[in-house]
Amino acid sequence: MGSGDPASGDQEPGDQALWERAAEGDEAAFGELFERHAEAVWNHAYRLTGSWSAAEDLTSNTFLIAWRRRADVTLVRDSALPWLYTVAGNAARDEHRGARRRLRLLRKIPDVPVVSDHADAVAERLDGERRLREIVEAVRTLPRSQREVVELCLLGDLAIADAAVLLAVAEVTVRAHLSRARARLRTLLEEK
Amino acid sequence: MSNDFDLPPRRPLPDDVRARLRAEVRQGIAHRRPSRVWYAAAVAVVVLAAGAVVATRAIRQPADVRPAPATSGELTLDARVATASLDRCWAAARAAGKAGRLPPREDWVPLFTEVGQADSVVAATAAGKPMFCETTATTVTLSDPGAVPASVPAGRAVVLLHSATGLAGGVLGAGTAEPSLGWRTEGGESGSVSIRSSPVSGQFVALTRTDPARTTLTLIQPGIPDGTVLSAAPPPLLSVADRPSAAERTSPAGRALGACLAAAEEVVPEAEAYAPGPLLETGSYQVVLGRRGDRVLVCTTEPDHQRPGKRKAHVYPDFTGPQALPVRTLRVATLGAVEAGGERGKSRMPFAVDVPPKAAKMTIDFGIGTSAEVDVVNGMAATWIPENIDILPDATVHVVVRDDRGTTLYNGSLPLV
Repeated sequence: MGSGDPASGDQEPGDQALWERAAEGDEAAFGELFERHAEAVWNHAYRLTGSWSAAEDLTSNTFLIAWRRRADVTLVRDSALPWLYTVAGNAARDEHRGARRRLRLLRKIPDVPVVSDHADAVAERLDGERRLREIVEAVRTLPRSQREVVELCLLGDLAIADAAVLLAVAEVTVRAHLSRARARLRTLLEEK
Repeated sequence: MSNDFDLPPRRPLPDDVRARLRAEVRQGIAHRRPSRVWYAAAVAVVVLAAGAVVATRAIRQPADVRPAPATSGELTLDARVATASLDRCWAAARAAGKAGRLPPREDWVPLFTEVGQADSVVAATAAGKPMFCETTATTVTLSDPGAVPASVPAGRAVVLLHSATGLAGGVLGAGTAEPSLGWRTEGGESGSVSIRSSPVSGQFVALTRTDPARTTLTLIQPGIPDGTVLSAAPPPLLSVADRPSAAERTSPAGRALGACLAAAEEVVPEAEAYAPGPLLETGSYQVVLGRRGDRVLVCTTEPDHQRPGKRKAHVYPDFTGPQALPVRTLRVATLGAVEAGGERGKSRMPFAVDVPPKAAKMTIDFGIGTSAEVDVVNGMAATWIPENIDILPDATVHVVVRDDRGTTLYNGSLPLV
C-alpha cells in the first residue's frame, strides 16, 4: 500500500473507482483509500484540533464514519480528500460539543509544557503549537458557514472550486465567506 | 492560502501512527461487518430457541456444542460460558430467595454470550422472556424477566439491565436500522457503540463502563444523530457478590484508590478487588494505580474546571492486557489539561508503567540529563513526567527495571505517552 500521496500513477485506480468498490463492501479498496489519504487527514485533523493525539483519534474516527457512509457519497473531482476533510470537520465539532470522550484522550499530549531554555527549536515549535491552538479556538467561534470554508480552504488548503462543489454553494459565496472569516480571525488573533 | 495565519507545516505520518490508525480503522470496520458466520450463529440460535428441551440438553453437554467462531463483530454463543454463568445466576437467585420470581432453570435458553476481560454476560430467554445474566469473578447480576415490556416497536429500544459494571442489555425493536447505543454521563463524557441484536428476541448488550446512576443512554440511528433518550433500566432482580474479594483500603494508596474508583463516572468490574499500587500527589492532582491479577488500571483525581469547586475522577483500565510485553506504558490523560478548562502551563502528566510482579525498582531516564528511580508496588510504577520535557507523540523514555536483588528484569525504551 502507498504512503499517503493522493496522486496516483497510471496503474493505480483513482479515488472514484476505489470508492465505488468500497461502497460495494470491498474493504481492500477502502484500505487503499486509507493508505492514500491518512497522512493528509491526520495533518488536517491536527489543524482542526491543535493536538496531535486528538488528531490521531479524529483521523481514525473520520475513516470509520467514511466507511459507514461510503454508499451515500459523491466525490468531488475524483478525490476523496475534500469529503474526508468535511467529515473530519464535522467530527471535530461533535467531539468539541461532546465535552471530549475520555477514551479519546488516552493518548493526549499535555498542553504546551514549560519551554526548555536550551532549545530554540523547541521553543519555536511550541510557539507554533500555541499559535495553532489560538487559531483553532478562533475558528470555533465563527458562524457555521464561515467555519466550514475556513476548515476546507484555509486549514485544508482545498481549492475554492472544490469547496463550492462540496458545500453546494457558488464559488463567489465561498470567497465571500472566506474573506469575512479571514478578517474576523485576524481581529480575534490580534486580540490574543 | 493558509500561510498568512502561520499554520504549521504538514508532517510526514510516522509509521507507528499509521499502523495504529490502520488497526483502529480495521477493527472498527470489523465491528460493523455483517458476516456469513453471523447468520450461521443466528441459525443455531433459532434452533435453540425452537425448543427448550433441545437447548437444555445441548447446553448441558458442552462438548457437543461448539461455540460459534469468535470472529470480531458477531454474536456468538459460548456454551460453556453460558451454562456456567446461568447456573451461577440461578444458584445466587436461590440463595437470595428470589428463585420464585423466575421461571425454572430448565426454561432458560441462552442466545448469545459476550465475554470481556473481567466479566461475561449471557443474553438468554427465561420462559420466552428476555433476560441477562452477568458474572465477574466475584459478582452476579441478573436482570428481572418480569420487567420486560410486551413488545418493542421498530426504531425503539428498551434497556432491561444497566449493571454496576457498566454493562447495558436491552431489546431492540425489529427492523431498526444501523442502531448504536450512545451514553452520556453527568460530567459530559460520552461515547457510542454499534449494537447487534439477536434475531430471535432482539436482545443486545453493550459495554458503557459508566456508572448507571450518572449515565443517560440513547438509541442512535441514521438521521437522528443526537439519538433518542432511553428510559433508565429497571433495578436488577439480583446483584450480589457471591464470591467476595476485597483488597486493602486502609493505607494512603488503598484509601486513595477506593475513593477514586468510587468517585469516577467510569466503572470497573471487581473494583473493590484491585490492590493499590503507587500513589502520586502534587498540588490538587492525584494519581493512583491498582492491580487485580493481570489487570491494571490508573485512577486520577483533579479539579473539575467545568464545575468549579468540584473534583472529578477518571479510571483508565489497561485495555491492552499483558500480551507479550513484560513492561509497558499505561495510557492516562493529562491532568489539568487546557482543553478541559485547566490553566495554561499548570497541567501535569503521569508516567505509569506495568512491570513484572517481582520488580522492586525502576529507573527512568527522560533524556534530559537526569534519571529518576521509583519504587515498584504490586508490579506497578509511576512518576510525574518532568515539566520541562519535550513531549511529542512518538517520544520515548529509557527504563531499567530491577528486582530486589538488583537483577535487571528489563532494560529498554518505552513510549512516553
